[in-house]
Amino acid sequence: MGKRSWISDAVIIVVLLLIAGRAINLPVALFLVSGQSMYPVLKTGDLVVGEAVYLTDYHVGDIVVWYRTFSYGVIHEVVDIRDGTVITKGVNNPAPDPPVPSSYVKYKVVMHIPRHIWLPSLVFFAGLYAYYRRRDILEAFKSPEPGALTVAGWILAFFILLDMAVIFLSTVYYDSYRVTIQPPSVSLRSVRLLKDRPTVEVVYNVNGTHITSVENCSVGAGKTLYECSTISYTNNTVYAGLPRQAIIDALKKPGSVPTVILHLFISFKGGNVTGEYSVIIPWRPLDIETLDGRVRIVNPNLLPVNVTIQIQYYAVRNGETVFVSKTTPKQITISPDTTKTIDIPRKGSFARVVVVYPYKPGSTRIIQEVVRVDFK
Amino acid sequence: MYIVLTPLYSFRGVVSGEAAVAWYRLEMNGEKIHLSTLDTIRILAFPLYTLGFFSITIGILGSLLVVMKPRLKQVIMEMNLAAALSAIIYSALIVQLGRLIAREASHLDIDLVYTNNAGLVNFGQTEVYKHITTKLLEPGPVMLITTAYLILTMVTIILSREKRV
Repeated sequence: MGKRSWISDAVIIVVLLLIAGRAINLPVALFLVSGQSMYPVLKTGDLVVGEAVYLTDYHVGDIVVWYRTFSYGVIHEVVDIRDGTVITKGVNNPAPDPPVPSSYVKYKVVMHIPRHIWLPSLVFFAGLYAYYRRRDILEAFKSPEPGALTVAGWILAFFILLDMAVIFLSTVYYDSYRVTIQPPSVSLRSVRLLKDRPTVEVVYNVNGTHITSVENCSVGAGKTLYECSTISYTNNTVYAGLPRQAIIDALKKPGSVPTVILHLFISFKGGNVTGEYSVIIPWRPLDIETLDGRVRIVNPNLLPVNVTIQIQYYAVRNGETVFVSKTTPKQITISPDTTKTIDIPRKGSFARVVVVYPYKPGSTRIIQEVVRVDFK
Repeated sequence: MYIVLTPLYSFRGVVSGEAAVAWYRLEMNGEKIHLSTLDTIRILAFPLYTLGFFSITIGILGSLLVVMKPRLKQVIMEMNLAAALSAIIYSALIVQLGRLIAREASHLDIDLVYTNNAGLVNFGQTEVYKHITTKLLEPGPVMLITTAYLILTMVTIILSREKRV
């Protein structure tokens, strides 16, 4: 009985030392896993045995125990070690933990005891211990000495030990909400006018959500509000077609940079965004150039441009330039972002091609450009 | 047991659900969320469940046993005394757990209505409702309840001894 009692007492002392290990930074300590952050590697209620980092080295991929204060700690996997800091992450968490100084890392997990093993074992060994000490226990319960409070002492000791064990074994991750809760967020990445068509592309940085529909899309030009001509979207991008009249209104507005305001009301998963985005409508003169007896006119704008073309032919005789003939002014329309090539029939020595087009849509002012085409 | 099992905070909005010491059920945009702190609180509260269960059992069984087997009265009294003293010791734990839950509840009070370069972003807000039971986790009421428990136990012991004399 004496030897048995000594063995059971020794086991209890070892377990208590393991439980209290981290408080005094013993070479080995026992920890209780709480939470889902390491699921399925570690489950709530599992026990892990940690070996002090002053005895062993740890690397990326190892599970370590770090704690900032006695109670503030974490059992997570190392994902990065750099510049004296360690970044850990719960394998089931969406984001890594904030970096902590490497001095916070106290133990490397070297053994894992699942709860379905240690819990029944504990009950078994506790029963075994109670069995060995049954006479003492029964004696205390059968005829307690009045005033000695033996039973009360036993029970009080049990509850104190239980409390201490749970506190010593558990680590609390106070800021866990930061890495487990990822609230959806939306911010604007870019707004740009597509080059090939009058469409505004609005791109958002989205996190944890996506566009589900575009509830409202309108374009303000001056005091008038127009419905978008087309609407389409992907997970994070909206394409809003600008109505022709909105562009014309913007370009017509005198004395300022031609601008339209795009009003969007977009539904995202879990929320919505109401935004107003200013879009500058560029208007550039036509690109006119000659190439191999032809004139090439490029319309870089969003609207078609009506162009009047007249060809004047000249001949060079005895060093003098003589007017030969001219064509009737001809009107053509050049579509947005397209190139029109005009063949110039050969007549005389060269031709002057007069291109006339409005300064801006709706403007009474005109631009007149003359290019020369030489006939070899 | 009542304090441990009753919801302390309710959440509506972005985060919805309820949180008690012994359990929590939280969702964010319809998806269940787990918080390590609340998981740990459940484990830290394990001694409280044990003590609660022990106190209730002793309270019920003790009353029956005292009538049926009067010789066990001394043991039952001592058990009650131990439970009352343990409750005093656990009062610090109870208060601390209450503070931990309050801290987590404040973190879940998420406001996702803000303005940035995208415009007015509205992903809703969370409304946090504090149940009356949170008051029971404050130091005053906890000390009052545990001290009252101890005093009543002591009075019972003293009265039972007087009767025996």
